[in-house]
Amino acid sequence: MFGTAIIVFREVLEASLIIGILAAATRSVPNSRRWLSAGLLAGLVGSGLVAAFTDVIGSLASGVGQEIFNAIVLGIAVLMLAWHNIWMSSHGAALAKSAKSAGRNITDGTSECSILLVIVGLAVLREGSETVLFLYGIAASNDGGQSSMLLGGMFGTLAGIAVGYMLYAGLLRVPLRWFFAATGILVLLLAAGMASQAAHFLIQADLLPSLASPLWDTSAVLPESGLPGMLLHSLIGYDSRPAGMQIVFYLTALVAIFTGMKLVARPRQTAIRK
Amino acid sequence: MFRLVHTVTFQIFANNGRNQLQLQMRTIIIRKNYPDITMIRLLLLTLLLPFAAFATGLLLFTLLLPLAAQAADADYKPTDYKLVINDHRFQPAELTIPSGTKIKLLVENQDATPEEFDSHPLNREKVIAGHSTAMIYIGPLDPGRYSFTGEFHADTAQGVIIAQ
Repeated sequence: MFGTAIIVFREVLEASLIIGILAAATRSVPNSRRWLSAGLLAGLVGSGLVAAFTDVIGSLASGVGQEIFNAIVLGIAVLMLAWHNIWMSSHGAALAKSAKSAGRNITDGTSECSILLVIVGLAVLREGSETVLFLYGIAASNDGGQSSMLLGGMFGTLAGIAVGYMLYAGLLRVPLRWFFAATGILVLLLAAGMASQAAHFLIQADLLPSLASPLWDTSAVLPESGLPGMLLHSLIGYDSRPAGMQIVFYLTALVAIFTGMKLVARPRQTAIRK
Repeated sequence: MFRLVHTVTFQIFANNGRNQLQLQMRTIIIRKNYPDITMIRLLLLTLLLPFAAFATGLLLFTLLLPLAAQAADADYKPTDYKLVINDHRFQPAELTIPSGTKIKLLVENQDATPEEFDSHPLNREKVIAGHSTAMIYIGPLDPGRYSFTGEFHADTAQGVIIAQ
């Protein structure tokens, strides 16, 4: 039961942290809650579908379909997170000021909200499909002890959601003047971590060279199987034995998104100052 | 109210010059009317973005596919090694491979339930559906022992790859 709880916890944690950060980051965007929920729902339906078609996806592209699928899902999520962060860096200040008179921003918020739906949907889709497969395996086997394992799965799910909620609640307590910087940095690192994971899958599929594998090995100090490693993996893309190519992807995403945020944020500020 | 806004703009024009006027005019127009054009543009953007992202993904996919074929066929031919999952156990539980070269590992899942080949030491993770075979590229590895598990049945499904 304990093992089951941990596996489910790990999968749920990643999606839950992403949702927690995004829910906090878009708290003043009108209707963002509704779009987040829609994304969650779409993701759950999608994860069922992906789980059902695992063998089909796996056999695509001469056996590396799963890796390519994961890399594409992660790649789209990175693009969307980048867009979200750049959008927030140009609208965040305005949103904070006009949080009470939000009427003006409603139309503007629609495009941002659909991005939310996609990001949350993809996060849930990827993590959820593995959980669905795992739980299906338990339910289908005749080993006995299913009920205790399913109970473990439930515990894992609840614990994962609880950690995500804690992050969300903690972020809401951040003072408003640091709030957008804080969520911006979190989303930035989240996106970079996903880019690194996408590279990981493309290396596994032998579509990318690994460039020094591993570049370093910190598995003795901070293993990914432990809770701190797990959290860091989900939040900033920590990898105890990364390939060099993963770091290249990580840094590229980091610099590209950061530059985008700065470029968009600057002209508006100067315009206001004049 | 509109007239008031106009007066303000005009004053800025008189004081600050031409560029300033154009900037101000634009802000006022957006605030005052044409909500439908903004809406349409945003709606288009909303619809187009996921498609654009998807198209990019697809493009990448098609671009990478021949690359993969080339890597697999022309440059080298990785030797195949095989593992079998039966009754949630790996057979053989210890697999010896040469170090310093890339190999292709085939994992056949003979169970009806899915399994995930998972190894932090190897930096690999792959879901294998029931009654199917997955292909995983491994290495080049330094000599040593690299443990792996079937994450969905970690209590029984365990094994080691030994690179020599």
